[in-house]
Amino acid sequence: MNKISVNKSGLEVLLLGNEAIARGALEAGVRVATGYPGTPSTEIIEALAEVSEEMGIYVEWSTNEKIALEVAMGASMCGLRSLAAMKHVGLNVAMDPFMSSAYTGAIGGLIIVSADDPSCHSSQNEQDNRLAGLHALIPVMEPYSPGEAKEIVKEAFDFSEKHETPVILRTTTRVSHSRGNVRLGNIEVRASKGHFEKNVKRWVLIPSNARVRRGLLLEKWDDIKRDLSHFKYNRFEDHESDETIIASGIAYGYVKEAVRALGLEEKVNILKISTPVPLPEKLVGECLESSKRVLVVEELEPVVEFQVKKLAFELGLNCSIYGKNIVPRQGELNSDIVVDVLRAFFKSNLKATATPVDLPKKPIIPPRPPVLCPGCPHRATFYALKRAVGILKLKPVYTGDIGCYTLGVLPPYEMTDTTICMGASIGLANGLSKFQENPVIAFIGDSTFFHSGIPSLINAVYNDSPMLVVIMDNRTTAMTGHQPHPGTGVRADGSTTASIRIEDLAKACGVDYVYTIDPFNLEDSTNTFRKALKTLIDYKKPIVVVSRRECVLITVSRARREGRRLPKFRVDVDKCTGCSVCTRIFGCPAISIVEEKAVIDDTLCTGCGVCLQVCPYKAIYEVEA
Amino acid sequence: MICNIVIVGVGGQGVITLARILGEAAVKSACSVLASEVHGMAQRGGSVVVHVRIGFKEQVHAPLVGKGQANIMVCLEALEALRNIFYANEKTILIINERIIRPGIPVNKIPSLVEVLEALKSCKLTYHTLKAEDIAKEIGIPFAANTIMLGALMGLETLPLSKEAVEEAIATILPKKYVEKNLEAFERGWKIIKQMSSQ
Ligand SMILES: Cc1ncc(C[n+]2csc(CCOP(=O)(O)OP(=O)(O)O)c2C)c(N)n1
Repeated sequence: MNKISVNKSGLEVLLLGNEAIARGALEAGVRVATGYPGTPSTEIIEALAEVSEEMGIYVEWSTNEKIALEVAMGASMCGLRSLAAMKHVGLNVAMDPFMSSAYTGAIGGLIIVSADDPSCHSSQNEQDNRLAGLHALIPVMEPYSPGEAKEIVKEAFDFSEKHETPVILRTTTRVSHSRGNVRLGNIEVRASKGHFEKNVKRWVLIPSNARVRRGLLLEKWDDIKRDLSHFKYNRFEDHESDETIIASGIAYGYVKEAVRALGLEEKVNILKISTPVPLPEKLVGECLESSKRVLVVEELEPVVEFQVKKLAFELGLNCSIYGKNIVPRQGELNSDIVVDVLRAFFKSNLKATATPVDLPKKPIIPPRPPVLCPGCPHRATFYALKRAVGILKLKPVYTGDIGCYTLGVLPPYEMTDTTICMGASIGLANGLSKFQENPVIAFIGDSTFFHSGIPSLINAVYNDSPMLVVIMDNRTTAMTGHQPHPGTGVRADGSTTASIRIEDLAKACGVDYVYTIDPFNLEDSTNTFRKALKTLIDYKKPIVVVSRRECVLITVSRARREGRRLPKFRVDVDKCTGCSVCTRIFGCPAISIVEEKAVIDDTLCTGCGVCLQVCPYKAIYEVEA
Repeated sequence: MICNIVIVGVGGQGVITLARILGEAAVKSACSVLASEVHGMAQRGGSVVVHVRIGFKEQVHAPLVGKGQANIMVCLEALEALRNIFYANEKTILIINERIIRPGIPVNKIPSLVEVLEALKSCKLTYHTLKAEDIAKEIGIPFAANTIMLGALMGLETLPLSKEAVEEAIATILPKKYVEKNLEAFERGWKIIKQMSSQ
């Protein structure tokens, strides 16, 4: 089932928001798509990679977001329509070329997808990247549903070429990760080779050129503003009321639902905004002029609100404008919240329809956070290292990073003292190792190491920062759903390529002591960690341990595909004392203690066999699968 | 008419697949639909909640079901039913899989199924229970508890979707080699609820 490449114009299908964006790009004749994985953006590149050969387009997982954007910019310079996709914090990594891209502009349509994550469902912050558009002077388009996302992508490519500007397509989790009705259009096929026209004054941002480009950019910004007042997806739903609700992006959907729930459909005007940056001033100005009271509903920062207030001031209007004084600035919105907001705005006690059931006081429901999977190699790495640390009686500071292994923060391991952003484990360790007494241990995943760990490791060698860096090489980018990376020897489209060895890289960075372990061999791993930690304490240099073992989800799905059974383990009830080392200290979710004996749940167990090495009473044994 | 369905369970139970099948069937039936999922962290054995809103001759504008706004809750795990009970109002119908999955982190006490069902009773809620895993194992497809639950949901006959549309969606979305068994699972779930509601 390969819907995003189906060439049946007019057909209505169900697509994930991100698939709809990918489809929109195909319909717009995209030739190049790049990205680095990150929830909730990942499926855009995955969907395009899957059809890249069939569609004759170029798709890559880049090593990080900065590079992804630069590749897309290169293609745009050659006149090709290109798209770079990333999660909101990915744009921070890409910020340097991003800011400059406003100055140089685009030739082939250039779309930067920023998938934001209000409520931090899977992120370290909830920054609002519409502000990045204001910062850089790059227009932002914000669809409210999968169906609209597909259409707006097409508009965005045209707009980008018309004004020779990059365009940010800003989505949020509830757009990217909702499935909805999408009506297919025609797929456009364009030439896949372009031509680079040398133009030093434009492409070479030395100060003398940059100053000129900045002036041109400011002029362009005014043109863009004017043009956006005619943008198809900005719409005034006029009910000849004195009161107007302005809603941007997905907030429009919640406003429509809330207005319906409160029976206000014919009683209030709605101005739907799909281009929050820059504000389409002519359109908004006209609405303000016909309104006495205005409410701006948007998620996170008051991006539209600020601009609306500024505009009202400039036009000398004295309508009252509500916004973040009654709309939450934290977390995503939903129809419930917007119903409350409307009640506050209309100072009414209009009734909502149903009363929710109260949560019973008893029983108390235990929390269920995400955990390391049964058979996850990261668990074994944490276990072995914790043993080594215990034997040596050390009190390390653990700098963590972003990936599945961040879950090491949870009990029973609690071996993560910091998580800041990708790559910060080694970066912070540079600081922490110099200014306090305890040894510093940095954890970093393989994909993260390639993404942003390498310069920090070089820094540790260059500036002589003692630390143990544990590179947890599970041969994939697991957290975001198993994308390949430069160490895997596979590209986004599945083709094979050189695989870069992490040990070689570490040595090339100047690290003298580089060890490799298989975390499923507990004895050897513990000993290697002991040796590494001793070396760290004696020599006070950066040390690297590469812990290599494939992500168990990959192992399991390969075994299923090949019809192989996984190893099976049983507990010898005579030997088991119910000591709980396997559950409470090792923390395998597939094992539980029932009537003071360990029991292995076969539906959860993946057969890693580490519990067998963990059990102090040798009570676990392998059986015929 | 808009029908709000909240599906809850634990990462790995097939909650998202269930929602996708419903969404697919809705589009095939010319309904407006929005189904919202959360990926990433939520998949690693954590709680999973998916909202599916199906509009029949009415457009769905937003993907999330509000508090007290669920018409139906499909609960693949009993603790998750209770955790998310604020989506229900007194008229909501719940279909609950009689299963408790232990959270992956060490916890002191896990409520029993009986305790959970007692609590739901005290909320004056209408619910049906079934042992989806047992039935799935009987059929020989142990991972299809979600399809059994889907059958049960359709057996209520309250959605604006035909049984055939959902069967077609199962055939479209699931890998070919599992389709036949899943259709069987679907039928079993459907029949069980039919029997329950006729009693
Ligand atoms: C700048 C940035 N880009 C992307 C992400 C999304 N993200 C979170 S973890 C991760 C990579 C995890 O891969 P790896 O380091 O190999 O660890 P694993 O999950 O495989 O254990 C990514 C891409 C992010 N948090 N920040």
